[in-house]
Amino acid sequence: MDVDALFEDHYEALFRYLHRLTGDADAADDYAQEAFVRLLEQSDTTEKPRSWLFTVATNLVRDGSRTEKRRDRLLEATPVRPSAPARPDERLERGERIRAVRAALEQLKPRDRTILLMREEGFRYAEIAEAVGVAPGSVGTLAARALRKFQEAYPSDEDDDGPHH
Amino acid sequence: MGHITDGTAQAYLDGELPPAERAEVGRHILECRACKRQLEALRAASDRFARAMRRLDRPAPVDEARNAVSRRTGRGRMADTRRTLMRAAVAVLVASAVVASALPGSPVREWAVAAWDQATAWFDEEADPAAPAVTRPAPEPAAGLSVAPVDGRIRIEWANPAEGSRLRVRLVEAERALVRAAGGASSARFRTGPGSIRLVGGGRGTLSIALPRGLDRAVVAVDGRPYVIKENGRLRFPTARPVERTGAGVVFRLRP
Repeated sequence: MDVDALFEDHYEALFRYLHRLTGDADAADDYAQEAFVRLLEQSDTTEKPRSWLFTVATNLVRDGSRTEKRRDRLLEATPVRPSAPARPDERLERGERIRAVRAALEQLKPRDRTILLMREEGFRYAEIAEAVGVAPGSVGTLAARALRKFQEAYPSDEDDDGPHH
Repeated sequence: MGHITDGTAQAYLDGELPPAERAEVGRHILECRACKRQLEALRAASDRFARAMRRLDRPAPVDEARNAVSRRTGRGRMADTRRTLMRAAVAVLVASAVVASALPGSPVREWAVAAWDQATAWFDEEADPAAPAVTRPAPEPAAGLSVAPVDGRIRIEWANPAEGSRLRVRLVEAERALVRAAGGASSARFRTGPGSIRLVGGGRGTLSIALPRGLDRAVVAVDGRPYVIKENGRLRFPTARPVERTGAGVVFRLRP
């Protein structure tokens, strides 16, 4: 297995997914590295390293108490105000918007969060279903409900200027 | 057919329905305003989610992670010293070529113009395949670049393309990969490195990439996601399905 090619193909996407999932760049990097190490150390090669990496990383996050504690600390340190104070400038500061997005994500069940984030990475329903442990036929319903719930939790219209970096 | 469920609508949007069911849903939404609105609402919710997620992103520490994994597994150790020396040598060569090509009547400049004209004839073919080849002046530097592979590999990345931009990729008989941005995409910032080209931003437009057929491996990525991987003589599309697949190449719609 070509390590450099594996990293070229999958690390950025895996890190992005894990960072969105955990809200913690250090944890995302740790989990991503661990998933790569496990892939490289396993004796059987897989035909779908991308699915394998994401599934293993998702399980690591789900099982890792470190993530829960870090996330709780992050949310405690940066609480989202239910109603923002009036400002002359109606647009939210970038940091507050990030916190709002994170808080809206936290409103979703971990399973639904994983479904939406894996879907964002282009995974097929069958792959998502295998990673989260649901029937493939239910992924569409779960994704639709999660999207609506996210929209309710994050109703801001200030998304048209795109990413900032 | 009765009203479609949210699950069916979502599966339809994500391209997950079997062909027959997809066709049935497609016919239904032409006739049912309520279901059409439902579909549009889900599409809007999906777009909003995607935009919101992009706000959270930050650059991935690829090199550090690769080195850490290499240390832990004893595999794929990067020859950092060798790469540093290689980059320095390439930089010296490129700088020399740039200086040489700037001289009036420089043979290096003439070669570069001729090579570009020949190689980018592909872009003109698709406008009018029957037309005879036309010699055009060298393109503006900001609109196109070429890069040679390193160890048989090339990576091309476009970060933050404008919504609705298109990515076109084709295999060609050439030694170098060619990248040309058209429309608003020509305002993207280009950055080259050994075996790589990175574009950032730009307005809505089309990025056309011609990959040498003889490459061992090539990756075309958008926002870090591999859209096209060329390896072992095959093209794979791990992130999204092309909206067009013809002899002229594959086309992706980005951030629709």
